[in-house]
Amino acid sequence: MDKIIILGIGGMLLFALAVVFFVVAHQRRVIRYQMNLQKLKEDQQKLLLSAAIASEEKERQRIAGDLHDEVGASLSAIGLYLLQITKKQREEPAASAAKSMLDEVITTVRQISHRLSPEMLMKFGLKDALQNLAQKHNVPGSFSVSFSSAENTPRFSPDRELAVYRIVQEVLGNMVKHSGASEIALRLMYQSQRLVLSLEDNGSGFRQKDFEHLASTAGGLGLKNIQSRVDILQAKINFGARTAGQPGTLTILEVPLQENQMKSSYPAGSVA
Amino acid sequence: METIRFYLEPVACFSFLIPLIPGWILYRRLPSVWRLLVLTLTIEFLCTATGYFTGLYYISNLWLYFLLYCLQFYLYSVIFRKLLSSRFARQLIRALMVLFVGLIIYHFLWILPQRTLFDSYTPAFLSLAVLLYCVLYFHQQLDSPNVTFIYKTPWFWVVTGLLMYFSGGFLILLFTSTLMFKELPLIRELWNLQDLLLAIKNLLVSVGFLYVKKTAWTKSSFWA
Repeated sequence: MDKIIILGIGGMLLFALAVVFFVVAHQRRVIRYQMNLQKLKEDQQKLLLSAAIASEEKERQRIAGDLHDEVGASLSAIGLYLLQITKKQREEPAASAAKSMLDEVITTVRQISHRLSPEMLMKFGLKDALQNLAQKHNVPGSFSVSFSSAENTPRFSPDRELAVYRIVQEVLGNMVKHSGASEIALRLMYQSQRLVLSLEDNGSGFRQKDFEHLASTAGGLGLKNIQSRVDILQAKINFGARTAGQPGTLTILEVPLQENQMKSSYPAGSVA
Repeated sequence: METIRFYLEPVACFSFLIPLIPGWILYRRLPSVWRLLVLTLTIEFLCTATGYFTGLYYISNLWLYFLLYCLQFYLYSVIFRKLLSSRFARQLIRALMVLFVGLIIYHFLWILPQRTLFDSYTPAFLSLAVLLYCVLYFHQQLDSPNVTFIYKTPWFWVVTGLLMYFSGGFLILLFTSTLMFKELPLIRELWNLQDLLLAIKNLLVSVGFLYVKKTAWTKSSFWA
């Protein structure tokens, strides 16, 4: 009787311990499974997003190529035909207007083509492309965009450079269109395995909560694209104040530079 | 029964103070279910301490233990009714509460007239019921896990303590009435074991209180 009772008590205690160990082990297994599933979903989403952006870039390049090679070439041919008409006819107001309009269209098509596929980025890298972008937005006397960067700037994979370029292009475009700023400073820095880009303006001010709100609403397609690209780059973007409580915006983009995604370093200004 | 004294009874008695001191200090800031636990522990402490001192002076205290088991059953039922969200669990708790009324009637009709008889059925029923609640709680945690590490949640430690105490105590309480007049040395050893389990339970409950402090008073984490 004694032994049976003691064995019974021991058995009950073992049962209790077994229940606790089973619960802990099983719960950890379930959580690990759920985390793996979540990670798979996120990876899948990133892949889809990445594919969508890659396809969008490809399409942009195709349109840029068509504009440059076909539309541009045809417009240049029209220009040549216009040159062949007699000098007297060229002085006619209609002919002169047509010529100037044609020149404008050729310039516009070239600009669109370059915007769609930034040639500078492909050839010379992010630093020169950003410098060029800043210069294009510069309107002496009324609107200034300054650019500064470190002397030696490493290059990394074309996809990542293009994504960073697109983000800056979108942010800069928004600053020009919506902030009412007269000065924008763009800085490119490299800090311990990460690229840091800062855009500072003296406009009305745009904050992180505005970005999160607009990026999650039905509109704000440009901001959504920024968020998608930031996610793909595993980067961080923050919209804050230049000085606490003051208008103006300081946008900071931090992109991790992974070893395998970096190309060889080259001195500033040289061709990679 | 009143002639039996146990060596570990004072240890078990004072072990209640380990979870109770933080429980009393934090009482106002605790959610209702934790307040109920503090109340239950306070009642357990008072009854155990009174039982110990009445035992020292050979005063009959069987009624006190019966009262303790009744209060324990209803308080733990209410606590688990708040913790368990499934409809089945809540209906089961309600059914067990009704069944327990039958046991109380049985006690008053058959046990109470025999003044020296220990009522084994009430505490055994209480032990089985709490074991069932603990298993249901763990099942709920397995069914819908909401934390990465279950052992970092306060209720895990409380429920583990209850599971250990009541699983070890179930057979002891069930056989007490049979053995108390036949095998006194054995029952003394068994009650010592139960006191040891009670002290372990109180230690585990106090670990739960430690995690309550760490969760920085966020209400949601108390329910994890």
